[in-house]
Amino acid sequence: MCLGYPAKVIEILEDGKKAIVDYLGLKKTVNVSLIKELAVGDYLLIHSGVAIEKIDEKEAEKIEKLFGEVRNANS
Amino acid sequence: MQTLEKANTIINTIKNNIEKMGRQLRIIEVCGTHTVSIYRNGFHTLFKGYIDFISGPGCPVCVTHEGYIDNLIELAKMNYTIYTFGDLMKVPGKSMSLAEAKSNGAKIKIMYSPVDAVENIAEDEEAIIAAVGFETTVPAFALSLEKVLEKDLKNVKFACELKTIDQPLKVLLKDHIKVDGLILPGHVATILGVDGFKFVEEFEIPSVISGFEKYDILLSLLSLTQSILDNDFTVKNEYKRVVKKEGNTVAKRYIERFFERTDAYFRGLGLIEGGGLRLKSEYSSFSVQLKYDYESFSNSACRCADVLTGKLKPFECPLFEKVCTPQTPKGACMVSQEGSCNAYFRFGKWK
Repeated sequence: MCLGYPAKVIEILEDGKKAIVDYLGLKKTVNVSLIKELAVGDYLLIHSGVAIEKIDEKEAEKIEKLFGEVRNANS
Repeated sequence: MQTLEKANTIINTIKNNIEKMGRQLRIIEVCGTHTVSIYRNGFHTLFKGYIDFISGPGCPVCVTHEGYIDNLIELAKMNYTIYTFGDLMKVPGKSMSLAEAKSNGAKIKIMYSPVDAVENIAEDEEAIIAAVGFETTVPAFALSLEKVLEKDLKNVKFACELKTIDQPLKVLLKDHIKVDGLILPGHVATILGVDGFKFVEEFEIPSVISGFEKYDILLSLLSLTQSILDNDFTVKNEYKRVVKKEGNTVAKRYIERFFERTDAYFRGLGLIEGGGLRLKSEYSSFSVQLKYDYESFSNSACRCADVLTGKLKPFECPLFEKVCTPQTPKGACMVSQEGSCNAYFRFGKWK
């Protein structure tokens, strides 16, 4: 129930309360009422059809850079 | 391979830190999703002899009382349609689960999102939304109630069994369990912020807010073991890409607008003062009154309560693997994908 997944904003719908996001190629409409200053290209953490926070790309990149190869080596 | 070496360096540093302490650490992961990540990634074997991982009460399904399930089934018999998250379906009630009630003809529908559910409920359908979850999920229920108000729907109500994380953690740390460190739930912290967990510092137990990927867990263990070595009780944040100091302020305002604290029953911990959330009185017409006896458990042999308070490992329960499996769960810890019994069953190598 508490699972969240990251997804990229590809379109903000007119009322600004919804957005179409891309998660591993899957397009979904999610509620973005809880997110301030949303822009296309932002990454969001989605939970129960609701975006609960923006993902800080710089922080995410730091982790990815540190451990990206580990994932590849173990998969 | 450079980063693989970095990972090995981190693993070795964690082990060295623990060796300096000269004993095995007891670390509790509060959130069920962490339990799954720890077992799926084999950290319980990687750190065998170094860390004893204890599963905490942060899986909303696992701490849900069977009486709540019975209430939902009763409501379904009264011709309401119950909307629920899928992971609640197999939780045993006194006589049956929601899944069994559904197969007997009860109107029970699985929702992916309560907000979407409200958008799609038919005008002639008397709907009850099963509101279960911690602070991660509460904003979604707040948004769905907002939609109910906007659309002026009279046919939608909420059966609230929502939980807060602070009160049960306080009870657990004060009365039930002795641990060296805590891995705090990253998605609850997304809403509440680092500030929402500052109360842990009063217990003088090191803690870290963690993400859920394997590298998140490793960095969190590194941070936690260093905090333990340094007697540093400051709540650390190793999920900075998502968790802010103040949390999601918009989400917190939504929670405050619609919900207020109430006492709540936690399987394993009992009735906890201020451990839950209910709709504020001005929205009580959208709330279903639930009534059940907290003390009644249909299966006294189920040791979920002891598992949730770290007194027992899942494999020490007499039902584990014998009659209690993910296909035939006898308790909520085996039902939920985030339950510790379920994680032990699926990822094995526990002995």
